[in-house]
Amino acid sequence: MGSVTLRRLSKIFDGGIQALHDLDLDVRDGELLVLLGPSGSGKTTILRCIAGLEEPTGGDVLIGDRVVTRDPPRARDVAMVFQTPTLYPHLSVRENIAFPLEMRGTADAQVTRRVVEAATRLGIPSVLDRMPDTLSEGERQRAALARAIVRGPQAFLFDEPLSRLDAKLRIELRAELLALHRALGATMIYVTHDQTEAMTMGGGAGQRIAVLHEGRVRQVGTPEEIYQRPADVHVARFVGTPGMNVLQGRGRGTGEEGPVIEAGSLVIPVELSTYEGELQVGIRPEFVGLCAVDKGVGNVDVLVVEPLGSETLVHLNTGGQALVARLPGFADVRVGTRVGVKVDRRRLYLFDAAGVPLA
Amino acid sequence: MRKVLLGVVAVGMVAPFLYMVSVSFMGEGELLRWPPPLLPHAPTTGNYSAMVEVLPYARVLLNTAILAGCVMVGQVLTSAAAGYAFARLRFPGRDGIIAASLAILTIPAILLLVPRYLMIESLGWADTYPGLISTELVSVWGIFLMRQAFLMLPREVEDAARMDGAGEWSLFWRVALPMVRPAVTALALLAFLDQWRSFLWPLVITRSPRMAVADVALAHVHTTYAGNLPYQMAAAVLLTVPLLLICLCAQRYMLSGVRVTGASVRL
Amino acid sequence: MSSRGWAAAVTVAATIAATLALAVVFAAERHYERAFAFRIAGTTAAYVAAVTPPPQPPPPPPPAPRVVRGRRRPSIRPAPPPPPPQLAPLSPAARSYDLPSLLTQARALQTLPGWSSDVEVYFGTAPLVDATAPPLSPDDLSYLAAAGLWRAGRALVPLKDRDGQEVVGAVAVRPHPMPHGPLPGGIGFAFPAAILAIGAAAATAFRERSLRPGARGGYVGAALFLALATYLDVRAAARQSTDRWLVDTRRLLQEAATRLPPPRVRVAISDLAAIVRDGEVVAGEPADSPPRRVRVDGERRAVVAVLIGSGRWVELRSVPAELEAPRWLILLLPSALLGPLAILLLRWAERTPARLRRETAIAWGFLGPAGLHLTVFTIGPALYAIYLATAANLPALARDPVTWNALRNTALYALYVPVSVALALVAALAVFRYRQHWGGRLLSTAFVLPYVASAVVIALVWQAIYRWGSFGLGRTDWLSNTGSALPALMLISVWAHMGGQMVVFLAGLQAIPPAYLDAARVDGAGAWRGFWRVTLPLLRPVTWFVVLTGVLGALQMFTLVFVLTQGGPSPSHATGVMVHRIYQTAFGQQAFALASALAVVFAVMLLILRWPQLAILRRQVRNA
Repeated sequence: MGSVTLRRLSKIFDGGIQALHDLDLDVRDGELLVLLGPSGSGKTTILRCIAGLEEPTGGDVLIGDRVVTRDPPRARDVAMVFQTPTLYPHLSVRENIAFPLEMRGTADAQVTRRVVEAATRLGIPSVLDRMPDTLSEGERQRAALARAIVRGPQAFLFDEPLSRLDAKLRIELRAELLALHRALGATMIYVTHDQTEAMTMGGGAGQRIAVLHEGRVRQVGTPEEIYQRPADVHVARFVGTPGMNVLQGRGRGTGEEGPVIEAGSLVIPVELSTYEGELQVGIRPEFVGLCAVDKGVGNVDVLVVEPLGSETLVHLNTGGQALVARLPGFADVRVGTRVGVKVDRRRLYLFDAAGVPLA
Repeated sequence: MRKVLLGVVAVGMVAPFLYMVSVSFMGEGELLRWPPPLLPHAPTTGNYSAMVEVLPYARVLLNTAILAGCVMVGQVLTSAAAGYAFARLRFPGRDGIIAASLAILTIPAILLLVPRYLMIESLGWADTYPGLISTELVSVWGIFLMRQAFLMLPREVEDAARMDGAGEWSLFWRVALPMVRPAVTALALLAFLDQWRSFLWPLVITRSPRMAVADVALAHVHTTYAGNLPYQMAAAVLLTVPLLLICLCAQRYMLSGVRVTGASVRL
Repeated sequence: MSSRGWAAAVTVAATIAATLALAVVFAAERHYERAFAFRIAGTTAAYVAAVTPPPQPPPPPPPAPRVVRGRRRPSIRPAPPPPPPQLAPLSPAARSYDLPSLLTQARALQTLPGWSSDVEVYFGTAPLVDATAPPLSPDDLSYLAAAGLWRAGRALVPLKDRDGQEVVGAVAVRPHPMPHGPLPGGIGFAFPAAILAIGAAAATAFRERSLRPGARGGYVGAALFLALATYLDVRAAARQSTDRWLVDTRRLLQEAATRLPPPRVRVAISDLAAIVRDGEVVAGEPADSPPRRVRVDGERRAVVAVLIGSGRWVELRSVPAELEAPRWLILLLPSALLGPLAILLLRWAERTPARLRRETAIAWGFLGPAGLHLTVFTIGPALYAIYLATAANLPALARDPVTWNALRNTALYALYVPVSVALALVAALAVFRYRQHWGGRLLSTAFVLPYVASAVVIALVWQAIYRWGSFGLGRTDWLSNTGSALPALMLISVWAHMGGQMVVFLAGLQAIPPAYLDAARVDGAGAWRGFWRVTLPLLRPVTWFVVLTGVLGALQMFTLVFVLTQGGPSPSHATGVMVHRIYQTAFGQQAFALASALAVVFAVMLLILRWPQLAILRRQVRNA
C-alpha cells in the first residue's frame, strides 16, 4: 500500500485550457479520499495524471516515496475504475478479471485462484464464464471492480464509478465499496460530483473530502468541516443541497442602527466593526425564514415554490439576486406574492469580494 | 403476383449461369445444331475430365489459393497495423501522412502496371509466386477501413487496458484488434475474393501454365479451344464452383462485411 | 536514453544505411551479370544457328523424341541422354540442323580461348557440350518460346531453327564471376566507403556525445561519399557487362568467320551482323584489343575491333549499359542518406517528451510495413511511370487516331453505369420490400451471383450466348459486328454490376431510420411520394458513391475486351478501350514508354473524376 502525493501539479491541454493550477494534495496511506467538484473542476484530470494516462505539464506525482510523473501506467501499480464499466467485450468475465494478471505474467495457477477470489469478494462468482454483453449493469461494474482489485495495487482510483447506475444499485454498491476499503485497507481516491455520495463515502473514520474548483483544491476536510467551515465562497456554494446562498453586498459601518450589510433588497444588521465596502454574505437556506412584509430585514418576491414533503424550498428574488429558503413541512407561500425575510444573524458567513472568509 | 414477378426476374438473372452449366455437359456435335439447344441432347461429363487435366485444375486452384491467401494475410496485417497507428496513436506528421495515403488512392492500377512489371522482371521474379504476390500485399483502402473501425473504439477501453498493465503491443494485439473483428473479417474476405478474381496482373506477370491463376488459366482455355464452347463452359464451371463454395461458407461474414463497408467509400 | 545509447543508435542507423546501400550494389551487380549472361546466350544461339548447316536428307526418317510444346500433357521425362552417337536419329523438328555438326559446333564453344562463361547447348532437352549433365526440364523448354529463363544460376535462351520459327533447343550460359572493382584485387569502392561512413558516424557520435550541426555535416559528407562510391561500383558493373559481351562476341565472330558453312569465299559482314542482333557490325579499322567508348553520330557506343581474316577488320558496336546506370541512384541515394536522416530523427527525439516519442516510434513501427511497401511498390513505380513517359513521343501520341478512338470508346462504354445503377436501385427496393419473403431473398441471391463470379467467367458465358445466338439472339454474332460489339459489352456489364450496386443500395436502405418514412406516412404521403420525397433524397450520398465508383470502374474495364474482342472487331477498333490499349502497347508492341505515357495521361483524366470521390472520403476522415 502507498500514499499518493501531488506536488505543484499543473496541466495545460493542447487547446491551451489550463485544467490544473499548481495543485498540492496528500492522500495518506490507506485513506479514502473523495474528490468533490462540479464538472470541469479538474477532478478527472487529477485522477488521470495519477494513473499515468495523462502527462502533467508541470509538477510531480508520487506514489509511496517514488516519483512516477513520467512513468507509463503499467509501471505505477495503481488500478482505476471508470464511469462506464469498461470490460473487454471480446473476453469472458473470467478472462477480463485475469487480464491484468496476465499482463504482469502471473503464473497460471495463481491467476485462476486470484480471479475466483476477487469475483467471490464482489459476489459475482456465478457469472465468471459469461460474456460482458450478457451481464446487467451492476454485474458489469462489479466485474470491473474485481478486475481492479485482483492484482492488489498500491492505490485505487475511482472515476465516478456509480454515476451511471440507478439509485438503488448505487446505494448498494456504495456500501460495498466502503466495506471493500475497510477490508483491503487500501489507498483509494474517489471522484464524484455528487455531494451526497461524497458525504457518504468521505464520512467514515480516516476519510476526507477534497473540494475542487476550477483546477484548484479549495478545501480538504471531513464532511462536517467543509459544511460548517467552508474555506471559501466556492466551497460554500457547492456543498449542501441546495448550496449556501451567497449575496453580493456592501458593508456600511455607520447605519442608523449600527453597522449593516446591504445586499439586494436586504439590509442586515451585523456585528462588523472593521469592514466597509464590497463583500459577500452567505447564509444556508435552512436559516432563512419568511415573515410578513416589512417585518424582516427586507422584502422579496416569491419566484418558485418546491414542496418536497418533509420540507419546502422557496426561491426568492431579492433585488435581482437569488435567495433560497428551506422551510419545514408544507409552507403556505404563493408564487408571485411579496414577503418579508428573516435571517439568523449568528449563522451568517462573510467573505470578501474575492471569496475569502472574513475573520 | 408481384412475388411471382420477383421469381421470374431472379431466374432471368441466373439464366446465363444455368446455360453455362447446361452447355458444359454438351457433346461437341451439338454445336452444329440450329437453333442452338438449351439443354444437352446426350449429357456427357467428358468435357470436365478433359478440362481437369488441361487446366491443370489442382495446380490452378493451388496457385489461386496461394495468391489469395497470402494477399489476404498480408493486407489484413498491414492494414490493421497502419490503421491502428492512424486512428489511435498521436505522432507528428500524422495528418500529412494520412493526406498522402489518400493521394495514393488516386493512382489507378493501370498506371502501375508497366513499372511494376519492369521492376518485378528486373528482380527476376517474373513467373514466380513472389512476383505474383508481392505487389498486392498492402491496400490503402484496407488501411482506411481499419482506421475507421479503430476510431469507433471507446477511449475508456484503451485507458482501462493501460491501467491493467497492457503495453502498446498488447493494447493493439489483445484488446483493439479483437474488438474490430467484424472489420477484419470483412477486409479479409474482400481481399481474398478480389485476389481470387484478379486477372490483369497475373496475366502480365505469369507466363507458364503451372503458374496460372484461375482466370488466367480460363483465358488460356478460351484461346486454346476457341471453337469448343462445351470445353470452355466446363472449365468456367470448374473454376466458379470453389468461389461459390467459399462465398457460401463465408455468407455470414459477407453480410457483416457489407454492413461494415457498405457506407464507407470503396475506391 | 543515455548519451552512450544515442551514440549506439546513431552507429546502428549508419550501419543499416550502409548495409542497404551495399545490398543495392550487390543487386545491381547481379542484374548486370544476368543481363550479360542472357545477352551472350542469345548471341551464342544465333551463332550456333548460323554456323550449323542444314542436315543432309536422312535415309529413313525414324521416330524421334517429340519436343513438348504448348499445353502440357503428362510427358515422360527423357532419360539422361546416352553418348552422342545414339542421338543420331533425327527428330522432325530438328530437320533444320545437321545434328553431328551441331554437336561439333557446340563442343567447339567449350574450347574458345578467353571465353568468360560456361556454355551449354541443348538439342531438345539433351545437353550436347557436357553429355553427362542433366537434361533440360521439358517444362522450361516449352516456356522458352516466350522469353528467356533464369534457372540455377544460368541464363537459358531458346535455340530456334534456321527459319527462326520453332524452338528446337536451348543455350545456357553460366557467367564466371568477374571482379571489376577499380581497387586492387577487384574490390569496389563501395565496401571501403561503407566502412568509412559507419566509422564517421560512430566516431562523431561517441566523441561529441551530442549531435551538433558540425559533427552531423561530417557524417552527411561521408554518406554522400558512400552514395557516390556505390554508384561508381554499379557503373563499373554495367560497363563490364557490355565489355564482356563485346570481347566474348568478338571471339564468336572470329570463330564464325572460319566456320560459316560453305559455299562462301569471303565471309560477308551481313552474315556476321545476323549473328549480332542487339549490336552492330560495320567495316572497321585495326585497333587495340580492349573495348573503347566512342561517339557515333552523336550517340555513345561501346566498340571493339574484330580481326576476321587476314587484314580484314570489322567493328562491333553496342549501346553501353552504363548509360542506364544512373537509374540505380534512385535506390542508392535514399539508402545512403538513410543514415543522416536517422540522425536528424534522433535529434528530434532529444527535444521531444518521452511519451510522444514513444508513441511516435510505435506508430512508425506500425506504419512501417505498409509504408515501405507503398514506397517500393506504389509510389516508386508511379514516379517511374512518369519518368518512362517522358521518353515517349507525345505529339505522335496526340496525332494517333487510335488513341482518340480508345478514349471515345471508354467514355461510351461508361454510359452503361446510369442504366445499371437505376436497375440496381429498383432491385434493391424490391429486395428491401420483400426482405422477409422467399422471393426477396431469391432475388438478392440471383443478383449477387454475377457480382461474385469472376469477370473472365462472365465473359465466357456471354460469349457462348452471343456467338451461338442462344436465347433467340439470332445468327448474327453481336461481338464481331462493328456496330453492336460495344453495346454487347455494355449489356454484359449492366448484368454483371447490378448485383454489387444493389448490395450497396440495400445497406443504404437499411441505414435509413424507419421513423422518417413513418413520419412521411403520418403526414399523408403515399408509398410513391414517400420514395421520392424521403427515400431517394436520403439515399443521395449512396447514389453518388455508386455512380462514381461505377463510372471509375467502367473507365478502367479490361477483362471483357481482352477475352472477348481484343479491341476489335478490327480494323475499326470498335471496342478498343484505354486500359486495353495501354496493355497492348506495353505487352503487345513492347513500347513501355508509350504505354506509360498513355497511362499517365489516362490517370490524370481519372483524377478529375476521383476528385469528388476523394472529397467524400476526406470528409469522412475529418468527421470521424
